[in-house]
Amino acid sequence: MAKRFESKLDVALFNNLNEMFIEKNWINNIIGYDSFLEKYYVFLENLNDDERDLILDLTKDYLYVAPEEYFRRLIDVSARLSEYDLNLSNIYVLPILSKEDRQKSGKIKSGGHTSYYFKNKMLNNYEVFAESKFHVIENLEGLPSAEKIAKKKHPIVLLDDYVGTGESAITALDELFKVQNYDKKFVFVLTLVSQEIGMNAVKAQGYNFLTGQIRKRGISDKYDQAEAKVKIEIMLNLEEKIGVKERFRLGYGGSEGLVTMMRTPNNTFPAYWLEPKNKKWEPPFLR
Amino acid sequence: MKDAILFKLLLIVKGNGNITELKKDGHSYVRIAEFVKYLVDEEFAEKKDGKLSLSDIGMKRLKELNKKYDRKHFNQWIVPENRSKVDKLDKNFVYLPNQNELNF
Repeated sequence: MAKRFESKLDVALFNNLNEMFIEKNWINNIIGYDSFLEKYYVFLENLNDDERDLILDLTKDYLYVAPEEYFRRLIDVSARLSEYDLNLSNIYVLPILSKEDRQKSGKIKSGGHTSYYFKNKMLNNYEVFAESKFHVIENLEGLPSAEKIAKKKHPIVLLDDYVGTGESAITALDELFKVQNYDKKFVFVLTLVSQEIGMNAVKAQGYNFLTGQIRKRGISDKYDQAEAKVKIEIMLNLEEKIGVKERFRLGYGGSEGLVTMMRTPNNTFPAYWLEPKNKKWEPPFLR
Repeated sequence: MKDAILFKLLLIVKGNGNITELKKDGHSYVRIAEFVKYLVDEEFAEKKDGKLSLSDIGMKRLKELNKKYDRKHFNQWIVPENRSKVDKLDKNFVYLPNQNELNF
């Protein structure tokens, strides 16, 4: 017997989302907004009441960084290098890539893409960078020596648009220090957006960390302990239905991320980016 | 907006707010979001205690449309209460209601 379609959504929800997406400016910032919106509603339609309430609540905190925002955000964070005892006449920028990615030529990664903005000469129009020369380092052999950096006080910047658990940044730092034993005070991890857990992990290793925006865990840091426990359970049940692999539960490394940048990092709750195994809906922020 | 659609929208807002009938009419979710925005922008509906309700302007418009779509065209304005319907059962089917779903 064919089951009659009955929507679980009502006009109040539509009105709330209209208001929310105008306030977040997604209506202008998300390219193909109508298509995104349709997917988002189909997604909500397929959730039970608890799951839907949770997703609606989490979406309030969801951060979408439009590609057009990258350059300005990057300038704002980079300008903070001037707060340190450095000589900014030369700045060495190294995209955060794993050794594997570095060896695979042609694979475009977020760190590589973000570092390309440092090739923009408009940067010299900003007072702090008026005399700066940016060197984007593509392989570790092109790095200046530790002695030179100690003498000249030029910063070495490891760059990515987003830091989740901090794992990639720490791996990149380890690789860097195998090649050059810099004084840590000249080495900076710089990112537009970072999960707090990632920032703390990098800082714990004694490195400087600059970020434009710190993101807390979507559920654990939002609700009180008892409520968070219930919400985590709801999310885990939803992830079970979707077919999320163990290592991506609550986002890679349990990051509980709510972020989409140029791409959606796997640290974001998979409900937002993973197609469910039953293919009943397309996730709104497909990776 | 066509009066027939507006009439249905006003009735939905006045009723339980569920959008099933709009989906059955073939409207996309994006279109329904636009309909709701229209109702609010034109001040036919307003938010009260987290819910969307008809404003005085909306009630007035609904009354006007009620006159236009009189009972001769009842199928255009009755919004079925879907949650009260059950699928047709075979005459020999013994119906045992689920205790958890009973609302009395």
